[in-house]
Amino acid sequence: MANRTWCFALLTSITFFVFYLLSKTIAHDSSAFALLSAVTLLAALYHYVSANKKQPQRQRIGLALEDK
Amino acid sequence: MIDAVVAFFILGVVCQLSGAKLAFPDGLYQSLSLFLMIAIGLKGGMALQQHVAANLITLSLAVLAFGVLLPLLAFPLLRYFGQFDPINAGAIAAHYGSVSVATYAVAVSVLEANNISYEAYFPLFVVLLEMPAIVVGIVLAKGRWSGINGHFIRQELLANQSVLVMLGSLAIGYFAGPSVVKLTPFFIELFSGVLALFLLKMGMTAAKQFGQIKQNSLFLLCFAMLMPLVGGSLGTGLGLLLSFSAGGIALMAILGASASYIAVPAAMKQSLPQANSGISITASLAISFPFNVLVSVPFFITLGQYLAH
Repeated sequence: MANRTWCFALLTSITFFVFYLLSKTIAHDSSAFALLSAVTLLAALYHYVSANKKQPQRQRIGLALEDK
Repeated sequence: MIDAVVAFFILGVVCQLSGAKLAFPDGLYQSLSLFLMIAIGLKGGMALQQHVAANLITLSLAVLAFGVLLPLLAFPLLRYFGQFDPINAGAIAAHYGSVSVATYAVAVSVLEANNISYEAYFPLFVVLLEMPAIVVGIVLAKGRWSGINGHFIRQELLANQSVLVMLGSLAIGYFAGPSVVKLTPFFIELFSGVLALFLLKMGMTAAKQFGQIKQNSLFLLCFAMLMPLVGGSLGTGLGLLLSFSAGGIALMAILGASASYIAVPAAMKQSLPQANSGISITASLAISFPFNVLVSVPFFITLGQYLAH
């Protein structure tokens, strides 16, 4: 689930970036899309890092992997 | 510069977050939402009387198809990325396929403040878009047509408060002729003031829901902002395809972007009682509504103007 969540956050970030470019093209204030794109990208990265950090820890202590 | 009416929404959020005790009776909230629905319907009926479109049936069918498409797009996203069970995914998809009258009212107010014209029949489209998503959401959730019987159609679709009030007001505005002018000082001229009051309350309600964004929070946050952009882009495409004016393209986009939090929750409570209504209301009211009012509405209005010229 964590994998899919960061993937979706990344997809959302890319969409915001596309809308940021579109806003610039149509001369609309694009700051909201730029900010949202950056924030969701950071959230996606945070989720990716924490998801990949948890797996080796669980392996070390001998727990079965649960990709929930 | 932010629209004065929209600024009241932010004031409502600030009041709630700062802990200010702003007494706002529930009855007043219901009355304001009733006022907005009647005003939108009457305005549409009066305008429709002056400009009847010959191809209104074709346009209405296209809008109905749009209402079917939106939950069909939302459902797989909720199932695959959000990993929601079919019941909750169907219920949330229904919210995002339906429309928010308040978001529509904000868009109309911004369009009128900027003297941007739009097609007269949009209130009819608002009514039409309320219904298909409810049926599609239930079918997706249950995986079959059971539950969509005559009683359900009568009770949840035709006797639905917003559908009945808006459709009735539209008919009164259309058939009452010149006598409807008597109602305009109350319903038309006070529209922006009443909308400001309504948005003040909506800001408080949305801020109250912020604390509920816990379960599946990152996915829900992303979905509730991504879906309005997807729906809005498709609405823009449909508006262009149907050769609407700049205001019409913007309104079609905003109808696609908005998510219901009044009509659909009531229908879902009856048809899908197992669904967690907290998730769908939090997504549509606490995330999508503020996002639409502050970001989508100004963006799609500019995009509509850009594409129409």
